[in-house]
Amino acid sequence: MNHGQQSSDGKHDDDAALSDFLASLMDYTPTIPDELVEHYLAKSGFQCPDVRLTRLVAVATQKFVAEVASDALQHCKARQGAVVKDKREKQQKDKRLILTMEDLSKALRECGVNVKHQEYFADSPSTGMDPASREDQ
Amino acid sequence: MSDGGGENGRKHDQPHPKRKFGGNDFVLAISKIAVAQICENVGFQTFQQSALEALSDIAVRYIENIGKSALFHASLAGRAEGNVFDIIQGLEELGSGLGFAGASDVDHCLANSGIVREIIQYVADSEDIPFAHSLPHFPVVKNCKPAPSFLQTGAEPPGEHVPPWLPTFPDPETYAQLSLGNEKTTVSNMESVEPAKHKTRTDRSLLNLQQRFACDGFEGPSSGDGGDAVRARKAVESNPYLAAPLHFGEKEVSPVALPAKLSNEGIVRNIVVENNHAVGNPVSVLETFAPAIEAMNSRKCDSEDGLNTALLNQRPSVHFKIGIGKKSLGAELDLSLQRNGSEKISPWFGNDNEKDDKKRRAECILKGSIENAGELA
Repeated sequence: MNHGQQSSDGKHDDDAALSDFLASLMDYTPTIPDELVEHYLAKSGFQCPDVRLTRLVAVATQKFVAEVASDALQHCKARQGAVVKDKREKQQKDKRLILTMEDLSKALRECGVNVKHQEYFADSPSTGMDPASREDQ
Repeated sequence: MSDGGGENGRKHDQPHPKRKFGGNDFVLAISKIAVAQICENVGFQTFQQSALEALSDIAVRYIENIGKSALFHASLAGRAEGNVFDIIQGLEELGSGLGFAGASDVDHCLANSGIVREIIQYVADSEDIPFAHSLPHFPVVKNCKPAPSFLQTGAEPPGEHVPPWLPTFPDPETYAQLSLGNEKTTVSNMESVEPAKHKTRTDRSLLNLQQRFACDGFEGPSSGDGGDAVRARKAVESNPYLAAPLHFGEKEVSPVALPAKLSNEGIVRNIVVENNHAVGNPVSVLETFAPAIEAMNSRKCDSEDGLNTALLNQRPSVHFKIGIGKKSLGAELDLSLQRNGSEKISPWFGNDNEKDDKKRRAECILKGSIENAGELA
């Protein structure tokens, strides 16, 4: 009896926390714009006029992307640390933190996304150039 | 690190601008900017283009997956619109691969979901970074105004097959063929020719009308108002409801009991005289039907050489018994037709039966009119 009372109180607390959180989303602007989320939700068939739900999805996506990015960042830092230990002279060049496919695919694999990236992919004119020439451009 | 990628890179750059301005590319560009902002916030300084594209693609798919599973749960609950619990359910499904706090508890309350708590935590920790650009609401739905329908403009559709709720046709000059210099003359020629055609057409119809009048005139040649009177009588004959009512005790007796020996003409004359006395209408029935009979006779003459009078006298009994009202209507119409085309008819009448039939009809009408005269008297 007492336990049931507690659990119902807990449920009330959860409800209150959830509604408070949803209300606080009205003030919070996620990095992913509402229009983008609305567009893709509409594309998938989900429809709801409540902007708080759109924000909830935006925040959830932002959290997911941020987690993946921070995972990739850890991979990047770990790789750089290993490289730096080997080649002291290239330390200057590799200090920049670059989001690469290599790190990203490792981070995404943890989330269950298998990214097959090319071993070599020149995706921009400046790819593979010396940093000096890159700065010239 | 120099590997000659510059040239290759330029080649890769070539097709890019062409497919830059699609409907989907705009959204993808926005998602790339947003993802780049998140990555920057995490701590990255720069990125590979391919990595950013891959990550933004995955972010977009994440949103779409949330939407799909939320829609699924809303539909499962019988709702068209989703609510927060559908979204949380979708988030839990997406997060089940990675795992979250309380995922093992099957009966847990959705409001107390580990996913939601994690999100609340994330929102509390992370700083508020709005999107770098101000966005218009998209996709832009053009508010195009449809052309007004026939109903709205109040115009009449050009054909019965065009329902009035359809949009009005454009102005005729938009779809009508433009007349160039050469065509103009022909068009004017056509215009000059066409009225002439019209004229001939109207002339012909006038001629027909005149012929008809001439034919009608035969029926009542003796007086000016005779034609009208005959016509009225005809109407009375053909329509039994217009006939004069019979008095009580009076029987409708057909004047069939004409002695066959007497000459047809004499009797008719007598009756007509009576009729004239009574009605004051100097129209002789025989004269009225003279052209028909004459035509009959002449046709007959073609084949049977003057047996007509005998025939007329020989076969009255049959036709006198035939009903007056209905029969006479059809017969009369036929007769008038026949009269109209009396010039052309002769070649048809090689057939004896047909001839007899016509003759019978003519007689029938004759009798009908006689009868009527009797009634009126």
